[in-house]
Amino acid sequence: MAYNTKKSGLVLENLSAGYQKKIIVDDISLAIPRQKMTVLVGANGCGKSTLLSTLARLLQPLGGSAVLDGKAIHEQPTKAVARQLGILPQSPLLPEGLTVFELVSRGRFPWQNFMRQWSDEDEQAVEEALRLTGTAEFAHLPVESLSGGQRQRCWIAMALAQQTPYILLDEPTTYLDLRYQVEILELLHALTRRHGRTVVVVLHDLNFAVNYGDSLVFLRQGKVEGVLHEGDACTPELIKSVFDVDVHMSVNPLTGKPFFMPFRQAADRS
Amino acid sequence: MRTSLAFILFTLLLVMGAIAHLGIGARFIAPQTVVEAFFHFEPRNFDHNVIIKLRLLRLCAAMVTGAALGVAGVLLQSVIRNPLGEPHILGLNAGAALAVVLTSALGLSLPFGRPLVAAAGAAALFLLVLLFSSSGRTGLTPMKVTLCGVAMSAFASSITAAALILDEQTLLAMRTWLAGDLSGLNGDTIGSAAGLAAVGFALALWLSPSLNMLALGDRMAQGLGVSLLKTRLFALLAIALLCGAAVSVAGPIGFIGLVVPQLIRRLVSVDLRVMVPLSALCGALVLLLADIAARTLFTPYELATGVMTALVGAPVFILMASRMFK
Repeated sequence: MAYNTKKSGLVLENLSAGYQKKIIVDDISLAIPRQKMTVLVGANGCGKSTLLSTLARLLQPLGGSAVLDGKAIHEQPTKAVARQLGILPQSPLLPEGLTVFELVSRGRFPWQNFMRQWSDEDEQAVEEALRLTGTAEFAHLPVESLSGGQRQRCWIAMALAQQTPYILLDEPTTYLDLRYQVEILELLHALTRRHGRTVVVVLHDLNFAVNYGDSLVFLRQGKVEGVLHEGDACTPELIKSVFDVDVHMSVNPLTGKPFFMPFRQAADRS
Repeated sequence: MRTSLAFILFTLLLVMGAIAHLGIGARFIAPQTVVEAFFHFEPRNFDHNVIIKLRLLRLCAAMVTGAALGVAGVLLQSVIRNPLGEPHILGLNAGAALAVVLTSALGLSLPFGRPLVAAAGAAALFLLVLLFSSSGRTGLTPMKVTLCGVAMSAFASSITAAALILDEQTLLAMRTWLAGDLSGLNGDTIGSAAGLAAVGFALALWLSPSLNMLALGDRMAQGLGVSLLKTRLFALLAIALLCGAAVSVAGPIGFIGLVVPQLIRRLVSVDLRVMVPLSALCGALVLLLADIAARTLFTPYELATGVMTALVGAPVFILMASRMFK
């Protein structure tokens, strides 16, 4: 696909990554559209987590590079990258007794140093993050006293307080009930539209991915199997090649977007 | 609010504890005389001389040791993400003691003397514990670190004991020191130990924001711009310096590093920027009180201070461990 490295934005250039010479992310080239929501879709073990670990600088690339606004992220100070790119991993650790406000405040770390600990900007950023995620009302409760959905909103608030133009989220809706899943995805969508953030999110639910993603990136065995931009149609064939599952596709009459339902193997044969 | 209150409270308690500590001894000296000795020192007053020339040394030793152990406990617990992390349990104190006894038995004398030798011993033994406990497929688990620490601690102590049996002179010099004792101190050791502890404490303060992020998991911390390797290495250095300082002054004193951070975490805050300075204050206070108790509970006999801290600390450790591994 065509991309230009001079162009600002998050661009992967022939990126390979993995553990101890075992290549898991294999030569991926990809440009993430700015101020849009890009959804990463793929089967378990397709390399999504390794890709995110690499972007989080937990892993060094084995080849190629990840470029942010023209500069390779692994060649910059990690704190400088953290002011551009926020990452919410799948299961962060929650220190016991931490209040919501304290947790969200920790998102300000990249903007602080030993001499400058807490400023008005920090205060404003945290308050805005609490407001946007609807967590302000329990700001002074311990995070562990909240429900799963509320807790997840706190973590997202923390990523927002980091005030990065780019936010990566690894399966932010896992373990949440339907209402909270919709709530989180609506929030992420609003971030791209109303606040100009670029959101990259890993999702397992295909229908949510199709509904909320401005672009969809399908990964299979460490490679990009397909990229769909706005207006491109997702086909059952693509789903079959990514997940090795036969799906039935219908079109949602309200949105014109497709939705997918896997065939039940035993039932459909009879 | 709660934080400033805690700072004020612990400072007040520490001052009161210090005055009591200076007053207690073979000859009881009233608090007002203790205060007078500092503000209106009379060279010919016997009590004033006892306080400034004799008892002040022991007070400084107790406060340096307690503060160093408290802060070392906080750092250790954040680095291994385990509230059971404690310099005594994880073998750092035993390693420091072994290094001191071995150099003393071999008749070596090194620059900066005891504190630096002790710090090197603590660091070496803890690296061994980390190495052994991270082997195997499950990696570094809280259970494995704790068990490995206890085992290595026992191992180091037995070598220390063997060295002492073979060398009676060292045994005589080290016997009470090894039980964790604050008597028989000299000013030089305390001075250089305080210097090392100050460096360790400064490192701890500097690292505390990064250690806060480390508590959220490696991936989160790295994503927030923390350099994991640098943070861990400097934290280990700080821990070794603090343990070395504490052990060189008072011998291996246990459980301060366990009880103090747990107390602060429960009562005040889990924010390490608060926990580090408060643990120093609270550690100094707790060791002071333990020392007062060790000297007064069974008069005319004196217990070693380390025996006192173990009497209180060991049950706390058992309670915490049973809740954690149930």
